[in-house]
Amino acid sequence: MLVTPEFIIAVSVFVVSLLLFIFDWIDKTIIALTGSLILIVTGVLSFEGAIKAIDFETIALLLGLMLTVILAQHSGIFSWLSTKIAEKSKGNPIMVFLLFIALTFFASTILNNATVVLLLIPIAIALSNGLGLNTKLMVIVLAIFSNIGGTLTLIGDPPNTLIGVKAGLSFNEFIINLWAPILVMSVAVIGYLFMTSWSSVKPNNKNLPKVFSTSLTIKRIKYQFANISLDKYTIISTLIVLLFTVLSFIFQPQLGISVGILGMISGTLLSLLLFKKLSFLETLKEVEWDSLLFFTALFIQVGALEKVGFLELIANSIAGFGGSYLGLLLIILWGIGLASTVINNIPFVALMIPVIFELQEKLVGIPNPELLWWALALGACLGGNGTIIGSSAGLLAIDVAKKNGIKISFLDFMKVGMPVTIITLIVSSFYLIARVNLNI
Amino acid sequence: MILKEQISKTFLDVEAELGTTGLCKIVLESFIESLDNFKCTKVDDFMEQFKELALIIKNTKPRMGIVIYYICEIWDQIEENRSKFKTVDDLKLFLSKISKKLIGEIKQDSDKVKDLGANYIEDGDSILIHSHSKTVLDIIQKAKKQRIKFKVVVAEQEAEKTMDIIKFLRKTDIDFVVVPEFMLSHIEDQVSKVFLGGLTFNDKYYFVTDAGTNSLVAEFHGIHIPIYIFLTTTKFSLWNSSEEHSTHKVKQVKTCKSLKDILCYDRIKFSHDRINIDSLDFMVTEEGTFTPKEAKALFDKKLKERKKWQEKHFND
Repeated sequence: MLVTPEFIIAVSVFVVSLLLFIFDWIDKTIIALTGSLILIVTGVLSFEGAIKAIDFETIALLLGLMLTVILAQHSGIFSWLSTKIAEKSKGNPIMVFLLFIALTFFASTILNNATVVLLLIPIAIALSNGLGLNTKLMVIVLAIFSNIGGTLTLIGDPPNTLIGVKAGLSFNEFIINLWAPILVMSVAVIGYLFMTSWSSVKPNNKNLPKVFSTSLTIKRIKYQFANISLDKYTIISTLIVLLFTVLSFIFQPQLGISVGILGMISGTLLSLLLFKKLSFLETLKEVEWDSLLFFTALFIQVGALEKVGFLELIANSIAGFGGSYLGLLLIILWGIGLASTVINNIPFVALMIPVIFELQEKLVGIPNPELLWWALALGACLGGNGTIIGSSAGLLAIDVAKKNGIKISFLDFMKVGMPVTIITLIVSSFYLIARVNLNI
Repeated sequence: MILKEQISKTFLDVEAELGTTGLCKIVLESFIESLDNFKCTKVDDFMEQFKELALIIKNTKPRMGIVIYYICEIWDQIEENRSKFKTVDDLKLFLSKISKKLIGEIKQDSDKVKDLGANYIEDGDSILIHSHSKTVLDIIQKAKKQRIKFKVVVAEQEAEKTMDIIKFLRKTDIDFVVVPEFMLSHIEDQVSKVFLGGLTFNDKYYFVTDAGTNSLVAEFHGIHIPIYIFLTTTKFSLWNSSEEHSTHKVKQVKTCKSLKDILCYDRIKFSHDRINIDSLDFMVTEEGTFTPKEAKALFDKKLKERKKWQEKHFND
């Protein structure tokens, strides 16, 4: 491998960007944009080459889903649903925990994790404060389960979207391949949380003042969050489009339409149905343009690394590790998983995707080469649970909690998040071991 | 957060969001619900727990006179009928009935104030309102239904509260105009009456009202525009003045961001104002309309009765 000036520039830009992402001094989008512009100005990539490196299908999918989620959010349906859950739980702490975990999990499989956190955590905080529960634990657990739920589908978490679009994996393939480990790890994590925090969730219906405070809180939440004037047309339109989105992703192979276009259809269709109810310009203002720009700039940086041969170098190093295929899978799972506890997993995944393609080319004849993708997806999504900075859901959850007067420190989060990450990675390891050994 | 603090905070939040009448309704409904969920086998144990709850409610900070009034009513009813309760289920059923009856009474009392209040609106009136008060809005709506021709001037206060008022007036098709509360001097001559909602009335003869009411009252009292305050007598704060409803102070760091710069500064906000009854002209309750002098006498009478009760139950 020839180390050229282009090679040095491309690798330096990526490493410096990664370090700046970790320290979080400057907005990550500005860092990524600056890096990609340096690559173009120094001639590592031509302008045309940079444009070619951008994966517009991923951008289209993210934009379409963002539009859908923003519009769906305004329908008030999620607040209504959480309020119903609060009511149904009758203040039983175990039920509150389980129902909110279930809602967060399932909502995260089709909605962006960050959106789920923004929608559900304020209600969960109000409820758990009123019930005298451990609010910090509640916030951390919901952030964790939004990541676990997001791991299940192609559209649940941005790393999965990147992997799915780039590797051509369908919505169904994600569910078929990941439901088993996700189910087992969810049960294991819930069991672990109940074991370690039983005193926080133990029901207490023998203390009238406490039972009264619980009922009072639920009543307040009911009018506070469900008193949103629910518009029948908006709700029906939202439900139809959400259902259409999920079904279109399920039948995507039969439809033959790319997932990016399906995402755009979903967002555009809901915008069209609700154009009289919600201003499209206002909706556009809520789109996370910074995230889309971040992805765009990141694609350019990874494109440069690919061009200078850095990714091939990494792939060769991993392939030349000398271990078995299972060993390689576990290295990817744990390597990406542990790195994702402190580093934004998206740049890592963007970097690893071409590496995995290279690996698949090198490891000709191995059974189940697609397991490399599942190891990457599980590692990247679940590793984010380790610390506050591991995932956008964690960061946002802490932010929302802070606005509601609950301070959660890095250590508070890690005390719960790190063991959960270890549990989920162990379950994932067993899953990969089983699939390699049984050759399924 | 300990339970008493939690309940105090929820009371304060609900009161700010729904007003005192709304708070009472929610407290009673929550009490009925908690009867279903509370597990207890002996009547004596139940009573112990009830006393514990009553004590917490009595000592919330700030004290909510109207809630204490209802919990006292329930306690009185239990004492009067104690011998009838053989099982906890008998007691729960009784309490549920009593609480439902009290919820009905809240509505009846509010309706009486509404009916009486609507009589003070006449053709050609221009009513100035400011409080985020359901009672005041109900009175105006009642007058509109009676086909009285009047208009409303809304003194603009906190955006959210003013928007609620505007939505109500628009929905009920009432003629209105909105004026910022610091610009009212320009339309003084166009106002014929001022209507206010009261949250409580304490033993120093002060009403607790929405923040901003004080300056408005000072302005219109000075030019002899009649000022009416509407509240049910259940809202009287029948405790010592040291326990009065606080005007909760909130200090926040405000940040203004613009493309050019970011400014941060301390901003102090208060939840309520306190207004002396002598600055007002009439207090309208379910028991009738009172001048300041009559209102003081009514309050003193009720306070005396409550003190006797308090000594009996709380050894205060």
